[in-house]
Amino acid sequence: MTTYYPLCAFENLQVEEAGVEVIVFDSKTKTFHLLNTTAHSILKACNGQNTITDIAAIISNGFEAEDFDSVVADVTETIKSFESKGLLWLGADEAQLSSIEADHPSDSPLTAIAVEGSSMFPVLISGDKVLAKRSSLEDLKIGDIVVLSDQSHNHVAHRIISIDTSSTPAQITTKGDVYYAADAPVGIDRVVGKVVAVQREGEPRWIKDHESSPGPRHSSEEKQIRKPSYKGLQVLDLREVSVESIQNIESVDGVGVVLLSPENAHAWSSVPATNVKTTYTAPKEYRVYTGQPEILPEMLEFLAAPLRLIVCGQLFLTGFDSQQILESFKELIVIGQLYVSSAEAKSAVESIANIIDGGISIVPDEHVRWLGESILGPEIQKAPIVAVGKLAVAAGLGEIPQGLALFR
Amino acid sequence: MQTIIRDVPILDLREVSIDAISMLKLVENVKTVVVSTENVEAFMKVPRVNQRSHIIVHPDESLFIGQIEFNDSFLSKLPENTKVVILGHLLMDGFSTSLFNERVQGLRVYGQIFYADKRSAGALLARLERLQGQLLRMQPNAVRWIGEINLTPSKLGSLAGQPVIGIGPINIDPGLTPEDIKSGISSMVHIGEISGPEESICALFSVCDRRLGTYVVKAEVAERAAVA
Repeated sequence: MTTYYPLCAFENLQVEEAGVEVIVFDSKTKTFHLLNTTAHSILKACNGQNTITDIAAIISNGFEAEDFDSVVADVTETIKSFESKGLLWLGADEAQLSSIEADHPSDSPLTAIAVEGSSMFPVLISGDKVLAKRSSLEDLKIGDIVVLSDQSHNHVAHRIISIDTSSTPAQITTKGDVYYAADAPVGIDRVVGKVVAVQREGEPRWIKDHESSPGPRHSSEEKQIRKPSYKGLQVLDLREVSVESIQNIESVDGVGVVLLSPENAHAWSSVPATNVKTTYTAPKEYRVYTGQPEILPEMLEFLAAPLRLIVCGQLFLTGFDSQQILESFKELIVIGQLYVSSAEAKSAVESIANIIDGGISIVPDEHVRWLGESILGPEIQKAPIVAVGKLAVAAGLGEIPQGLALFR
Repeated sequence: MQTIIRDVPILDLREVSIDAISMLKLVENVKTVVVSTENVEAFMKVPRVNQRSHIIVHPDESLFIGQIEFNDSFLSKLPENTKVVILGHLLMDGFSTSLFNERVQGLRVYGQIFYADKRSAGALLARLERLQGQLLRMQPNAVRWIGEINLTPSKLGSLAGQPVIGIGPINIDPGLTPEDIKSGISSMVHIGEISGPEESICALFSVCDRRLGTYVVKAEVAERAAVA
């Protein structure tokens, strides 16, 4: 008779609660496993000190009137399953591990899907793998990211912005975070699952359950709450603002870009917004530059890691060659125009940029730069000129001289 | 009693309690409000009209307001690994990058950054987490014109051909000719409005390597000058 002392590979495992179950990520095999609470308790008891009988005794404390032998049998089966998945070692006083057979469950409630495209940037980017957990209507809330199967059986991962339970089946409406327009509503039967984790470059990131939306307020309470409005801003950065405060915004009008965090993005759908050009969901560690920044290749010497950068305005990278661009940036979003000084640099930017809203222009590295309202007169003595904005020609000049290197 | 605050460029509420902020009835015509992580949620509930932006300063950050000469003298006064927030403009003729890396852990700038030394700018960019403004190259040891400037013959004469960095409106004296301007200013970086006769504005544009802003042609002034 062999006595086993199962030892869980705790150092390789990350555990996250997912409702009444837990999801375990094995960083060694880069795989996810869904465990019920009993299975999780068994796994936790596998400390290399307990025998299978010990573990069964621990587990049976949670059951009443359960036949202990059947508990031992269930625990043994569960541990066999863990061993087959590489979640634990079966340390034994005799080397008979080969007598343990592996089982392979086939009907998993977890679905792993590779991400393509940037509609959920930067929460999801191309190359990510999302883990979707099969979910019922009751499990889904506004703000959750779900994987949908479209009519061509392609998978789309977008965020829920509304749920209509008055239809049969219930209809949900989703939206990509980088889009202003919503997707067409689809039936709940098209939901493959709720995204519970994202695996990027081998590392998992858990998608936390969003806070519950507050219920309808009573009119007397409504009167006491004073609500702010935002109008005429280039950037409205709400990434460090709570869900409650976002839901408390009275209106947003005429804003270029609204920045939200993955934690509060779902609350945006409740804000009355008009003339908002774009919304982006960006973690707080993303750098945000607004205005007309010029980035210099000289920073490469000092960069600890490539930049994740969002620029709202005009971005000048004219000092960079293509290799420097590839080394400097990991992710790049430009809401506006981007300027480089060669076709090679342009190609490099196109290969790393997630979004460039206003196009890429090639201009000379060394140039005079006028932004805003400018005027060109006969006194002009420096060229080439890059003029962004309105450019007038003085009466004394008449028209723009032929041969003047002017980029607009 | 409730308080209304209006018509101030910067409203610093970092040290104000949540209770006191909840007493604010209205904030109006304020360019930038500075709040802390402790009281930002209370401020979000305050009604606001024409407030351009708010900045949340974390407890471990140091805020500086105004034009900062960002050099070794400034850096040497900072404790090691300071997280710096600047609300204003930052002017850099150059600094020791090793001192910068020792003293500045991170940087947020709400204003313009002017640099003369590319390597210093590179070191700064590597730690620049947030920029609301521009990064502009200026000539070394440029004369600083901060605020509204009346560009008169004597003002121009005092330059002796030195480069200029200007932040703020420039009103060109009608007594200055385009030739005076072109010969008096070797190079200029300017942010703000330029007003004066059209040909003088064009002359000032012609010496600007970098410029952001608007211009206003003062036709009446130009006509008076012509008559005189």
